[in-house]
Amino acid sequence: MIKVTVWNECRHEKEDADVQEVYPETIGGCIVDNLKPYGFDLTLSTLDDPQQGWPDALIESTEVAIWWGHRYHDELSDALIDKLQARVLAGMGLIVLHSGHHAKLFKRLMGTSCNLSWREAEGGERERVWCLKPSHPIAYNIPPYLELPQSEMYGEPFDIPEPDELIFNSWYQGGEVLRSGCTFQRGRGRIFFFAPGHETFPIYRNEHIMQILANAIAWAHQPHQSGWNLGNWGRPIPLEAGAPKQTYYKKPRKLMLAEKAEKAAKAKK
Amino acid sequence: MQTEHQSAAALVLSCAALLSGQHHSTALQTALAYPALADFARGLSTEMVKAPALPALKEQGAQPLGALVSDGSARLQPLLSVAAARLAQGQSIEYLCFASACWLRYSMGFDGKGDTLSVEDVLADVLMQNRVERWDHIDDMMAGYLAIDALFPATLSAQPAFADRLSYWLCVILANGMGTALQILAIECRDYSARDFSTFATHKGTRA
Repeated sequence: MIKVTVWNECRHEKEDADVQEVYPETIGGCIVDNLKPYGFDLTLSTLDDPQQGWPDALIESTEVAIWWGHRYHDELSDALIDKLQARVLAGMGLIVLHSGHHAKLFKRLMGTSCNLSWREAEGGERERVWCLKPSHPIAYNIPPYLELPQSEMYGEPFDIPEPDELIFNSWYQGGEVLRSGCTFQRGRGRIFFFAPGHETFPIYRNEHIMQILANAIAWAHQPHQSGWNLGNWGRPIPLEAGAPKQTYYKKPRKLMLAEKAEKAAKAKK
Repeated sequence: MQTEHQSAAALVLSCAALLSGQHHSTALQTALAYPALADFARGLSTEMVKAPALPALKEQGAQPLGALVSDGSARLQPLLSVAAARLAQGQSIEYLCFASACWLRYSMGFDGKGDTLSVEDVLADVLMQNRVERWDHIDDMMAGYLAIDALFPATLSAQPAFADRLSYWLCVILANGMGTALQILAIECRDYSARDFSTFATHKGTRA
C-alpha cells in the first residue's frame, strides 16, 4: 500500500467562510476522503501541525506527497524545505496542486520563478482540460477532455523548465491556455504539477480529477528504493585491464598541511 | 564459532566504522545500524568459513569502536587464512579483501578529515613507514604492504587474485572515503540473481 501524505496549508479553511462552505472537511480532508477508495495508506497533515506538518519520521516514511498551499508558502522553514527536497531527490514522489506552483519546495525543485498569469473572476470561469497523452499512466480512465464549470484562470507564460512530459493542457473561457499537467524527474523523484483545484470551487469533488490524482500517485511512487544512489563515484581502477588507472590519491588537507609543516621544521634543523 | 574469527570481524568492522565518521566511543552494535556497514558485516559473514553472523558479534558489539582496533595485524590473520582457503577453492574473496583493505587504510593513521588515528599494533611503524615513503604511487605502496611477511603470508601475497582485489578495494577506499566505499561494496557485491517482483505487484495493486 503506497504511503501518501496529503499536506494542506489549511489556513483558508480557518479564515474564509466561502472556503468553509465549499470544503467543510477542508481541502486536504476532501482529497483524503476521495482517495480512500483507491486503497492508499493516507496521512493528512497541515501547516499548523507540529514541525509544520512534516516531522522527520513522516518525511522518511512518505512515498508520495500531495501538496496544496496558497497564501503562506513563505512560512515554511528553509531547513524543512532542504529536507523535503532531499527526500524528493532520494525518490519520494511529489504532486503539486494548483497554487502550489509558488510553493518554496516546487520552486526549489524547478529552479525557476514558476510565475504564471492568473485571473480570479467572480464566480469563476469555465476550464476545459485536454488530455494530450491518453496512453500515459496518469491519464488512465480519463476522457479526451473534461469540463470544469468554475475555475480560476491560470495561463501562460508559466515560468517552469521544459516538462519531461505534458499530459494535460487547459483552455479557459477567457481564451488563455496553460500547460496544466506536467511531469518532471528530479534525482530519483517523480514530480507531477496539476493546475486545477481552486479553494472556492469544488474541483476536488470531480471524479475525473480524483482519478487523475490517484493515477499520479501510482505513477510517482517508486516501486523500489534500492539501486545506485551515490554522490560522486570515484572509480580509480578501470574495468579494462591495461587501461590508465589512478595511481595517486589526495590526502585530506589537514594532513597535507601538517606533513608540510613537519617537513619544513625538519629542514630548518 | 571461533573466537578469533569474531575478533577479526569486529576489528575490520570497527576500522570501517571509525573511518566512515563514527566516534571511537560508539559501540560496535550501534555503529552497525548504519545500513552500508551492516551490509558489509553480512557479506563478510558469508565469506568467512566459520561465519560470525551478526548476533555472534554481541560480545564485541557492546564494546566501543576505539577498543576494537588494536593489534590488527595479528587479529587479521584468521581472516587471511580464510581468504587463502577460499582462493584455493576458486571462491569469491571480495569482502575479505575489502576487510583487509580496511585494516591497511586504518593503519595509515589518519581519518577522512585528516585527524590522527591511534594505531596500536606491533607492525604500526612498518605500516606507517610504507605509507609515508610510498604514497606517491599506489602500485609501490601496495607492493610494500604485500612484502610485509608478518602481515601477509607469502603464499597469499603471491596470489595475483588476492593482490589485485586487495589493491582494488584499497584504491576505492582512498578515492571515495570509507562511507562511499561501503556503498560501492554493497552495490558491486550484491547478489542480483534473485527474482523478486513483490514490490511491483504491490504497486500494481493500488489502482481501483
